[in-house]
Amino acid sequence: MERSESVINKISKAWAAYLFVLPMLIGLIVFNLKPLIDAVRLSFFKAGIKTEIFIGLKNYIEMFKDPIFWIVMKNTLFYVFAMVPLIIFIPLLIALIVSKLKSGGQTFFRMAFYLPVVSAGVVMSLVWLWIFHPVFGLANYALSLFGIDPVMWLAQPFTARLAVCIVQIGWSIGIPLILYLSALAAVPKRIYEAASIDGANPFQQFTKITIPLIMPTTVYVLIIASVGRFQTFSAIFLLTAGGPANSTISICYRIYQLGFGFFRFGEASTYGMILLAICFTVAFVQFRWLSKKLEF
Amino acid sequence: MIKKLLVGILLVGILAMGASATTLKYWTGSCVPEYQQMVIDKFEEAYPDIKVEMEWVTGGNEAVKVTAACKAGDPPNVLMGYAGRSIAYAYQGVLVPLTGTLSEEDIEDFVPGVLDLYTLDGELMSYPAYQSLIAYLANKTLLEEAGIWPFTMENRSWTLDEWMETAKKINNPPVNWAACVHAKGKGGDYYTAMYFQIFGANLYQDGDYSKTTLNSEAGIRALQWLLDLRNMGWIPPGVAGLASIDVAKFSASGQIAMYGATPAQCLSKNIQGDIDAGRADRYYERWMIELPSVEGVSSPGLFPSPTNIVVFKVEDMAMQAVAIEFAKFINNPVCQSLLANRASNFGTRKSVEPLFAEGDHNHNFALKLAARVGIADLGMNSPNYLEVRFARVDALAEAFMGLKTPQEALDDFAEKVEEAYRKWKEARAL
Repeated sequence: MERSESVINKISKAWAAYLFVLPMLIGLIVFNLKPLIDAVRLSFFKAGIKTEIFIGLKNYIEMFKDPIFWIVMKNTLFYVFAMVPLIIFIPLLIALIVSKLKSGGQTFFRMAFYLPVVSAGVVMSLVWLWIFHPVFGLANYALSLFGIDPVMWLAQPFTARLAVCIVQIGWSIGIPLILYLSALAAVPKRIYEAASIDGANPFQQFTKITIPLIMPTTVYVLIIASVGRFQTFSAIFLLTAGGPANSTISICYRIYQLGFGFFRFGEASTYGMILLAICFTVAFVQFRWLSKKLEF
Repeated sequence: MIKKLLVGILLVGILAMGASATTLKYWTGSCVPEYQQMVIDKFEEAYPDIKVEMEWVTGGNEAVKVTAACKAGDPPNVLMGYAGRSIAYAYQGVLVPLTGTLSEEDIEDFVPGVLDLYTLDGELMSYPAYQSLIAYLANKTLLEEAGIWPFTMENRSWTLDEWMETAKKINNPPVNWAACVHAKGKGGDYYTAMYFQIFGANLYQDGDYSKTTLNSEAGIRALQWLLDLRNMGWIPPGVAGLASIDVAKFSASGQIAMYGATPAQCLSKNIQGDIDAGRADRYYERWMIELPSVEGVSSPGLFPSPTNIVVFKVEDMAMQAVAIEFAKFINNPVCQSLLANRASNFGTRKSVEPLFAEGDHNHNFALKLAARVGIADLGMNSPNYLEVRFARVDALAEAFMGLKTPQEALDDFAEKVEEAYRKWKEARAL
C-alpha cells in the first residue's frame, strides 16, 4: 500500500512538473523543432517561395563544389578562433578587476559592459561605421596621433574581418561578464584566506583556486561563445554585407543571402544543416571533454 | 474588359454587403510615411468601407518580411517598393498579373515605354509608380572657384580628355577629390557602374540576360581606368569599403567635384537641407552634366531607379480585387504627384507634376538627355537581377583590393552571371 501510494505521488508530482514546462515545450516544438524538421526536409529540395521539387542530395553536392562555400567556412572558422578566446578572456579579466570594487563600482561597470547587449544593433553599427570610416573615422584619427597611416578598415579582407570581430566582441562580452562576476562572488573567501596562510601567492591562488572553481561558468561561456560565433551574422549584415568581395561572409549570412536575397531556400537549408552539424559537434565535444574537468 | 467588369462587380459586392470594414495590408518603405498616409487617407475617403493598414518596411527588412510573409501564406496585399526587388516576386509566382486592369486613358497617360519595363512574358506584373534616374553631377561652386567650370546652359558635354584635365586641376585631397567610386553594398552601385558607360561597356547586350558583356575589352578598359584614378589619388581611399551613403556624405560636404547621384541632389531645397542638417557648411550649387565621351562610343542610356506597386496573390479573390483598386488609386495622377515630388523623383505619368520647376535648367537638360540616349537596360526584368548586382559589386571590390586583375574580376563576374541564370533555368525546367 505504501509503495503504490508513493508511486502515485511520484506520478502526480511528475504530471505537475510536465504541466509547468508544457508551455515552454510547446514553444520549443513550434518555434524550434518544427522549423528544424522543415529545414532538414528543404535541404533535399529545390525550393522557392511557392515551389518545392525533390532533388535528393544535389544541394549538398553543389554546395561542396561551390567556391563560396569554402570561403564561408574559412571566414566562419576565423571568427570562431579569433573571437572565442577573447570572449572568454576579456570578460574574465574585467570581472577579476571589477569584483574588487565596491558594489557601486561593480554596478556601474556591469551596466556599462552590458549596455551593448541591449542596444539596438542598427544604431551601434552606424556608430561603428563612422568609427571605421577611411576618411572621417575615429579609428584612423586615433592612429594618426601615433603617426600611423590610415587603415582601410572595411576595404580590405583582413581588416574587414577584424572590424567584424571588434564589433561582435563588443556586443558579446556583456553576458559572460555578468556570469563571471557571479561566479567569482560565489567562490568562498575562506579558501583564499586558507591559501594565503599556506603561502600561496596571488598567481597560484588564481590558477589553483579561482580557475577550477569558476570552471563550470567558463565551460558554459565557451560553449555559448563557440556556438554563437559560428552564427556570426549581425555585425556582418550591418557593417559589410558580406563584403568586400565575400571576405567577411559567414555561414549565417550566406543562409540569409540565399534565402531572402535569391529565394533559394533549399540551398539555404543545406547551409543550415552544415551549421547544425558543426554546432552540435562542437557543443557535444566541448561539454563531454570539459565536464570531466569540472569541480563543483 | 471582362476582367475589369469582374473586378468592379466584386468591389461593389464588398461595399454593398455593409459588413464591417475590409482591412487591406499595404507595405511600403517608399517616400515618407506621412505622405503615404496622405494617399491612404484619400483612398479611405473614397472607399469608406475599406481600411488600409500600412506597415513601413525598408531595404533589407523588406526582403525578409515579404519573403517570410509569402512563405507563411499571409503576404501583404499591396507592396510599393524598389522595382528591382519586387520584380523578383513575379518570378516566384506570388504576384497578381495586372494586364487588363488599366483603362485606355491610364495607359495613354503613362510615359511611353515605361509599362514595357514591368511586363514579363506579355503580362503586366506591376504598376510603375515613380522613378529616379542616376545622373552625373558636378559641383559647380567648387569648379567655378577653381576657375575650371567648362559648361553652359546649352552645352554640358565633354570628352574624356577634358574630364581628365578638369579632374587633375580640381583634385586636392583630402580637402576634395575629383570623383568618387564605391564598391560596397548592394544599393547605389549604379553611381560607380555608370563609369563603365563612358567606354561603352554594357551589362547586357540585346536583352540577352543569360550572359553579361561587361567583361568585354571596353569593360576591362573601364575598370582599369577606375583603378588608375585610385592610384593617382583622384578618388577617396578605401573604395571597397565605401557605400553610396559615403558618396552622399562627400558630395554634401563639397569633397567631391564630379559623381553619380540622383538629379534630386540639384534641387535647391535638398542642397539647403544638407546645410540645415549640418552635412554641408555652405551652399554648393550642383548641375547635371553628361558623362565624358569617348570617340566612337554611344551611351547605352540613363540608369533608372524605379519604384513600382505590386499586388500579391491571396485566396480571397474579393480582397485581391480590392487590392488592385487600391494599387491603381495610389498611383493615380494626384497621388503619384504627391509621392513622386516628396520623394524627389520623376513621375511615370505624363500628367504628374514635374520634379523640377518649369524652365529649370537641370530639368530641361534631363529631359533632353533622356530623349536622346534613352533608358539603359540593366536587366531589371531578368530573374537573377539582384544576384547579378551583388556579384558586380564583388567584382569591383576584388579589383580594387588587388585580389584580381580587371580581366580576372570581370571574367569571374561573367561566370557568376551565367551560373545564376543556369540555376534559374534549371529550377524553371523542374
